[in-house]
Amino acid sequence: MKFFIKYYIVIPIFLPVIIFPQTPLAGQFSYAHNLFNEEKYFDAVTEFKRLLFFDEDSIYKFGANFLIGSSYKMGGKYSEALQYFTIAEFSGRTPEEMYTAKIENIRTNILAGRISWALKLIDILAA
Amino acid sequence: MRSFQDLHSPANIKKFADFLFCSGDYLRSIDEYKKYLQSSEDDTVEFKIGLALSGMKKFSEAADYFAQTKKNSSLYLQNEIEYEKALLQAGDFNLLRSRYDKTAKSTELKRLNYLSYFYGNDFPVMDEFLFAFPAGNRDQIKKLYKWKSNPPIKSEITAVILSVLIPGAGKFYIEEYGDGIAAFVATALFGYLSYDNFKADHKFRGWLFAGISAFFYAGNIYGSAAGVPIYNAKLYFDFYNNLDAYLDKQNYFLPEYGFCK
Repeated sequence: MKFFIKYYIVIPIFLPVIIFPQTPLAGQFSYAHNLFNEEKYFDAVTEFKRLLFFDEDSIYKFGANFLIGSSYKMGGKYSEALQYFTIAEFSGRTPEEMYTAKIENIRTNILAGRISWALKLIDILAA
Repeated sequence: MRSFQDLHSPANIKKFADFLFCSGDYLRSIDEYKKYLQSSEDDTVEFKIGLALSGMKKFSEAADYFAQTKKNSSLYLQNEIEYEKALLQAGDFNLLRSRYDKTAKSTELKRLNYLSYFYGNDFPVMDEFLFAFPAGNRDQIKKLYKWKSNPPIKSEITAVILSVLIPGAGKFYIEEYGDGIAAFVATALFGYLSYDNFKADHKFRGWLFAGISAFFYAGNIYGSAAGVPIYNAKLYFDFYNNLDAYLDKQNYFLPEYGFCK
């Protein structure tokens, strides 16, 4: 799951930033992402929240919220994860980002045992 | 900001910590405030750590934290008030009352001391008690005071006597109406069946139904007596839940600090 998030979602979206981490916010994103990869989820959430606090132009709004949601999901805190996946879904700038956030929303609802709600979301997505 | 390290400068750590505190993310705000205090001394930040612990409902830890405040702190009185509030919330009423100094001029400390009496068995005189609180809240405080002084609890003896006289009446007394009706109907029905069978000279069935009726009759008496402590416990549970919710809403009649405007 982490492999999937890291290599198929986050890296393609932020490839330019990761290759050229020159700005403070890009550096902060890399730092937070490293904490996520090291499974230090509590610290990762703190650093992503710091990134969001100082990101006045909302450049990282989707990525940071998505990874905060992923951190909470890995920690078993499904209610919090759903909250952040929903924010990520509404702050996605491309259809791919919104779709990715929706899928994670559905998966997290299944993990939280909210099967009927997950099925409704699948129906909405399929429509 | 010129670099990544600027995001982690003491000033920016404090800004972020204040944001976390006002968002209700108290655990993270405590970590950030402690990071900030490694580079600076700040009474307000120390105070906010205590408030964050209270916000997380770790009242004993919050009380210990507020108790460490130095007397030369600019927020010493506020720390004293929050310390006593944390003692009240942690349930340490004896320590709270033992610290109370009647000569102290602080209205807030007086109110916290009086509020602790809601959780004990003795009360100061009502007028003196009520005038410690703001005029707009005195009606509600009076209702709570009267309830606590004379709670509408039920008596086991009354429940038993009622059940002996009329099966099910004891259950009605403790507001278990369904059980009361069931007990009355069951006892009366089997009692009637017993009478009817004895009248028809069916002695075995007569005794059988008499036994069943006696079983329901005895059960109704026992159930009424056993239900009274449960009823009274629920009464107190609801009272303390309502009291806690009211005091939370009023912020224990303490001033707001305005950290999150």
